[in-house]
Formats: sequence, C-alpha cells, structure tokens
Amino acid sequence: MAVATIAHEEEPEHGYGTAVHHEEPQRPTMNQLGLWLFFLSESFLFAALLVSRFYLAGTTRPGVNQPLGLLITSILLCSSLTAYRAESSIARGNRTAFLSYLLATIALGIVFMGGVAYEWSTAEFTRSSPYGAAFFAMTGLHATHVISGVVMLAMVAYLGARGHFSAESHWGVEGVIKYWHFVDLVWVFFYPTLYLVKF
Amino acid sequence: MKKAHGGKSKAGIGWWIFVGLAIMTGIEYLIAIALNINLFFLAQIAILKAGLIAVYFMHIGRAFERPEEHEE
Repeated sequence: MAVATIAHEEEPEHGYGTAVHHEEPQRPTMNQLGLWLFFLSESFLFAALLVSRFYLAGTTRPGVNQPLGLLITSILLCSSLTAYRAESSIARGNRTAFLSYLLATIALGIVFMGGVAYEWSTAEFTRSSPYGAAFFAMTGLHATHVISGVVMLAMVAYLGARGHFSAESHWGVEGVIKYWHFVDLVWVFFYPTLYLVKF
Repeated sequence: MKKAHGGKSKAGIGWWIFVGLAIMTGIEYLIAIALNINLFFLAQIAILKAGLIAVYFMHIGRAFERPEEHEE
C-alpha cells in the first residue's frame, strides 16, 4: 500500500514528459550504475564456476598447455590496452585512431578465441573428468562472453564508421569497452585458477 | 555522457597500467611454474591486477559520481 502511494506521488499527473525531464540529468550515472550492477550479477556466476573448479578438482593442475595459456592471456591483456586507447581516442574526438584501436581489439579477441579453440582441441583431459568439466565450463562461458564482446565491438565500430559517437557523446563506446575490460578482468582470475594453481 | 572522459594526459596512464599488468602476469607465470608457489600468493596478484583494471580501465569511480560531477 505504501509503495503504491509513493509510486502514485512520483508519477506526473499530466503525463510522462515531466518524469523524463527530472531523470535526464542523472542518466549517465544511472547507466553506469546499471552496467556495474550487471557486472556484479555476472561476477556471482563466474565466482560460482571458479569455486566449483576447486571443489571438483582440488588444486591439481593436469597437463594444460602453459605457453598457450600465457600467450592467450597476453593477447587478452593487449586487447584491453587497445580498447582503452579506443575509448581515449573517441574522448578526444580522434575518430581514425578510435576505429583503428577498435578493430585491433576485435582482431585480438578473435585471436584469443582461436587460442581457446586450439586448447580445447588439444586438451589431454576429457569433459567427463572433474578438471575437464571445470575447465570446459569456465573457458566455455568466458569464450561466450568474448564472442558477445567481439560482436558488440563490431557493432560499435560499424556505428563509429558511420559517424556515430563524438567526444561529447560516446556512452555506447564506453559501455561496450567496459564490458570488454570486464571480460579481461574475469580472465585475470580464471587464468591462474585453470593454468597455474598447483600444490 | 556529456563530457569526454580521459584527455591526452590520462591516455598515457593506460600504457603504464598495461606494463604493470604484463609484469605481474609474468611474475605470476614464473612463480607458479618454477616455484609452485601457493594459491594465496596467486590470489593476491590476481586481486591486484583486477583492481588496476577496475580502477584505471573500467573507471569504477565514475559509477559513484554525482550527476553534476559527472558532467562538469
């Protein structure tokens, strides 16, 4: 009842325009907050998988391809830098650099996916083993996020090439690049968990 | 998003953060492979790396800015 009363009081009597007018100055902050809440909800999912790896396989480290693990981690790290540079470039109004860095980020993301695919095809363990189940689930879910990130970056690059976004207005770029950094952040935890941990 | 975030001076920070992350990744790899160091140490490095990414690359601070600060 109380909730209904508050909602009624906040709703403008003469239509939807007034409410929009009051909310508009807060829009960037609300977008940021919404995105971070999304990241928080995603973090629970990734954290659950990370914990399940230790539950299923303990701290063993079966024969994973260490050089490949380090290589794809480095590639993802480089892609974070190019993504950062792309965002900085559009913030300065440099569209050419923005598009170049964005395309480099997409290319690095695709190379990362190639590395993961190669790891899957040459893995010494199977999906039915405890470590294999954790490994394929974790890398699989992460790869899904990388693919969706690449698709979103491609959409941003397409829109950017058509003249969208500017130094003054580039929330679309910022949001997608934040997502890309989040994918990198997840891998920061997944890499040692899958490749390095061993007692 | 009313104002461009990250001018030319801030753009250089990205390189330093990248170098820091790369060095930490190298240390992580070397100590894990050569020394079989424990989970606690690896977790500390991972948390530090994640913190750098969240603060400098993802600009987590902006999520807590008031609208007038955000747009100034």
